[in-house]
Amino acid sequence: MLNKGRDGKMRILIIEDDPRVSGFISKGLKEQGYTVDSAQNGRDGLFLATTEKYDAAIIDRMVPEPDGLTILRAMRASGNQTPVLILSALASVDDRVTGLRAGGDDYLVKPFAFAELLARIEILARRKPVVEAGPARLAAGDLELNLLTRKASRAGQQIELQAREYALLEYLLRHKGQVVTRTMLLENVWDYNFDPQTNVIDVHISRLRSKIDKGFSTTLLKTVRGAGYIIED
Amino acid sequence: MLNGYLRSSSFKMALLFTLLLCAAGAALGYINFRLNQQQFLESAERQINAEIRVLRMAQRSGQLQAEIALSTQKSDVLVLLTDKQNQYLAGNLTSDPENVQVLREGTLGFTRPDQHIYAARIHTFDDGRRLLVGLDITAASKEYLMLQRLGIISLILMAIVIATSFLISTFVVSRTNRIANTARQMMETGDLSRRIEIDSGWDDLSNMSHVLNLFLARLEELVYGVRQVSDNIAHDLRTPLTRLRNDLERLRLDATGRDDLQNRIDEMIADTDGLLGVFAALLRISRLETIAQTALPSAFDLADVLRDVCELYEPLAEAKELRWQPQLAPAPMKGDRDLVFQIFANLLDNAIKYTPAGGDIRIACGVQDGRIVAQVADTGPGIPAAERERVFERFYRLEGSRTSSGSGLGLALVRAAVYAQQGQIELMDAAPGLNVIVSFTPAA
Repeated sequence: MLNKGRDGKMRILIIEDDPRVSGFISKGLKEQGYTVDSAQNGRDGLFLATTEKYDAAIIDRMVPEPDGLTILRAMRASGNQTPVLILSALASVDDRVTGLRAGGDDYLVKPFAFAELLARIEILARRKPVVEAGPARLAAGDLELNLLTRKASRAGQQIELQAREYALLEYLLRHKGQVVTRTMLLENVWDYNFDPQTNVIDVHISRLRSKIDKGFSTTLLKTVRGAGYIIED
Repeated sequence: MLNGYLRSSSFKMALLFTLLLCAAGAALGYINFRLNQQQFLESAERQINAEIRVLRMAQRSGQLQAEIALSTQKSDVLVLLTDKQNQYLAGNLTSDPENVQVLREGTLGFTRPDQHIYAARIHTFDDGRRLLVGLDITAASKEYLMLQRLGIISLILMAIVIATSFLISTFVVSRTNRIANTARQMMETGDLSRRIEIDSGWDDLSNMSHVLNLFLARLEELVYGVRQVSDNIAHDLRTPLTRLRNDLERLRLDATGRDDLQNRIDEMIADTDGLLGVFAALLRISRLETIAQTALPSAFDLADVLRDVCELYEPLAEAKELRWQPQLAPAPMKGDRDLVFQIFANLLDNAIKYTPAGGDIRIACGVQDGRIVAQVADTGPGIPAAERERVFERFYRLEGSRTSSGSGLGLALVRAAVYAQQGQIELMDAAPGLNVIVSFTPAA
């Protein structure tokens, strides 16, 4: 289902006019095993986006001639469904909404931590990593989540989860093997776009961890320092 | 619009003006039409009656013919004496005048072939002879006619003045309303690019609108400049900080296997994140202050948002063994849901931070006197009355809380967000503790 290059690597397109930002993203992604093409202006970017096949594209909103949103609209109008992450220096909700309306899949405000970008690209490029362990089931190791009965169990042992803990676990399991950042959790599990003053997300995670990992030899829910969390088999 | 017009001072002035002018006009008209006519006719009648009285006395003493001869020597007097058969007997008039009009009861008026106008009265003697005495009133009647015309002209002028005063008041009202509406819209939307519409160039109000527009343009330029400066700060300082953070991340990877180094790098990353957080908050506050509306307002229930905030912070409260019983009544409102969440997340975060372990936190919302009201009250140390305004300033921190964590921007962000939602915020004493009341206008 993915358009892997001849070497089997995932291909990412970067349309960004700032060479430092572009260079830093592309270097980081290459280190993570991606193949990266970059365009410094809108025209080259649009050409690459419409002629080549990519697993994901990173487009700066403010790239010149044509701007990022125009490229995005042109891609979507021609039926190109490549997942797109929009980069922008504009942080307001309005800008986020226009970016997503134009057909963007995710939105990241500059300046950003590379870990945040990487986490989002991983999820976009491997979107729908169908990890259901059966009909309506998600699993990691011996941890199972039944989406129909909304019950969780580990090694056959029932785990009582509160509504938000369930949502948190479901989101983590849907992105099994991928780093999930705190911001992504706020946006997707809590459905609010805001800036928490404290480590309140960490408290929720440690609560969930105490329910699913306590008393088991292997820890499934791990903290990725400086980035976020990951759940792995 | 009409209502505004009726209440305006210009309309009231116009109304007063009109009433006064109407009264003056009516008085003037009355004087012109009644007094003058009366006066000049009466004086003519008096003269004629005097002449007739003299002739009657002369008739009694048999001197009529001689007296008529005497009277007719006056250039402005006409006399005609006829017998029963209407035959000429004496006088400087040979026959009855033609085209006779009745000026008043008993007074006739006619014009002679020489264009002179006369007023006349008739006396009939006991023997059947008739005496007609006329007086030349040409000069007086010309004056009267002129006065009458002047009266009509002044009435027309007054009508014009009334109409003009109405037009001017309408003009002034519509323009002052336009200025007021533009100003109100700018305040409500925070859109500084609006200008007052100008459709004429000759009046003072257009001139004032023009000057106001220039003023607004200058203001917009300045505000934009401030925004530009803060954006520049963001760009100029956040970008290298982020680069620093990314370099630290890479360094951390290189230090794999050296836990002591990695821990120190993690601390550095956390410090960098703290700095980035301060910049983000600062930028957010100035954005909220300059761009009033951040997103298309959506309709939601404040109770739902507060429930989510409580749910998010519940583990933190539990860790401190705080007791809270949210009392959330339906409170439908319109606004930016994320921003409202941010407001109460900050307030609750503070409440949890400052309430001693085992204390109480009160959270409530509902509709009160037509407004959406929410309350977050803690049992912490509270804020002294003198400092309640100042805690909303950026980086302002209370004595004694300087050592605790936090950037000193939380409440500044809260107030900017509340104002951006056209809401109000009030800090009160919960004795002990702080009682924060936030209110919004309900969904229309």
